[in-house]
Amino acid sequence: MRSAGSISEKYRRTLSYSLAGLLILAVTLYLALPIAALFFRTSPELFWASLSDPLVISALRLSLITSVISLAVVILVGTPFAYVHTRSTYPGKVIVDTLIDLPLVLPPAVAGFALLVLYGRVGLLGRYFNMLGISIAFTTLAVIMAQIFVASPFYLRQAKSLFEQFDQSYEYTARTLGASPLRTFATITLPLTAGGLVSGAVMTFGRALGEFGATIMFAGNLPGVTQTMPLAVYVGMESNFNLGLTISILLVIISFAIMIAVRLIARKEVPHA
Amino acid sequence: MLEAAFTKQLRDFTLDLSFQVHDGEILALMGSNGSGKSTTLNIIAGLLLPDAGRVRLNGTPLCELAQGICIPIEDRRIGYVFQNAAVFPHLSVSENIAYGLRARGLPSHEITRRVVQMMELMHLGDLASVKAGNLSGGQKQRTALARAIAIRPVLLMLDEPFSSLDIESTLAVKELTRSIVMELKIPCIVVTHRGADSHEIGDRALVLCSGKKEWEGSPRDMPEDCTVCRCR
Repeated sequence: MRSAGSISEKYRRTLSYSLAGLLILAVTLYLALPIAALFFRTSPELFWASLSDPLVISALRLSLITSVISLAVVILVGTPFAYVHTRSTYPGKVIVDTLIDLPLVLPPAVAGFALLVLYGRVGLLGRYFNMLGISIAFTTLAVIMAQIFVASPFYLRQAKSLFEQFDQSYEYTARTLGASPLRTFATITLPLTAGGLVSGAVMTFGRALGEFGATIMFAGNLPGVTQTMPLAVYVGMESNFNLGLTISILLVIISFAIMIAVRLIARKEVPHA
Repeated sequence: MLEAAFTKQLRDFTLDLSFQVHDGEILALMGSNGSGKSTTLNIIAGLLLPDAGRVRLNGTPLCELAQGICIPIEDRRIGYVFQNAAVFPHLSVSENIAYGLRARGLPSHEITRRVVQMMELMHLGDLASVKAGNLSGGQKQRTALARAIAIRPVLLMLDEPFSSLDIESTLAVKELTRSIVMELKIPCIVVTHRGADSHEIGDRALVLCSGKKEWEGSPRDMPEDCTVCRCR
């Protein structure tokens, strides 16, 4: 009886370990295989040759410039906004909270279409800008605006949550010691939340870099002007497969670097006393 | 001398309090959890506004709502040590002590002098460059006290300063507080809910119960049936 019981126990354990292993393997392969396929489909020679293609260079340049500008705007406006929003009570705060999260669930094509309806040549605001000779849609500015719209929630949500959880006794102490609200924010609140803010910023940068739907709807697909890397992948798939492959691999490498950066930053975050 | 008389509607009761603390005197503000002790300190510090009333320090109004006077927190020069000490974990011990002096724009030689003086007074000499986040409970409390004293406050307020300290650190902080208050001749409020603390450090005790003054007098004369005694 004892021997039969231990065999059955051994069998049960082997089965559960096998099932767990199979589950982990299946999920990992599902996520990793498409990425690996990109690398297997090309050769180092082809990759390096395509890298010097003007289309790749201009898309890479435009993507990096617009993403950096978008990120700078999100940080410079989003940080004080998130702080003031968290620390104040005002009517409609719940609605603002919902609006911050909305771009996360909104299909990017809808976001781009909405931006076009507002800022397009005959848009609600766009027609007035047009009268002043300012055109927004289908320009590099439109690329930046689309990226900010779609990517900013990643930073705003993170900043909001950090400021909400921040122990206010640090800020109160700084104030009683003689620091102004601005000095308190710059020397106490910001340094103690910096780790989380940076990881939010890195995620925002990654999302801006990969933005496709809103950009193509609102900014179009003009090489050198609005054709970012994801749009160039789309064009490459139709005309020059190797070009699309090279840009895709570049985006995978950048995304991977971003995720590693986030993990390293999260690990280094200063613990509160 | 601190003179405070104010009311503030809180969630469960109205805080309605009037009291004075003389120069060089330590008032042990006592009461059970949620009786309004920390709110009282926050109103005096300017972190909360009372609904009505006034707070005066050495005759100067810090907050006098009827006359529209409310001095900003940073201009009140009150040394306030929070329950968790709130030492800035990303700064070293000496940077913590220098924080208020820098914020007040003191010349660097004066900052250095006062930091060295405070480190010696609080027996923190060998911890100058240690990040405050790595200190023990007693060291944090002494750093917080040094930081509060360094700005030469006109009033010292300590919120439950002994709650997370061992016996040795508690005695050290009590002795330091007592000597500082005597030397600077400033009023001091120590919030505590332990009768023993009020006996050892308080010149006078004020017991709060649901926002009202339940008893006031010498800690030794505290009646057996007051809220704090019942909670012991």
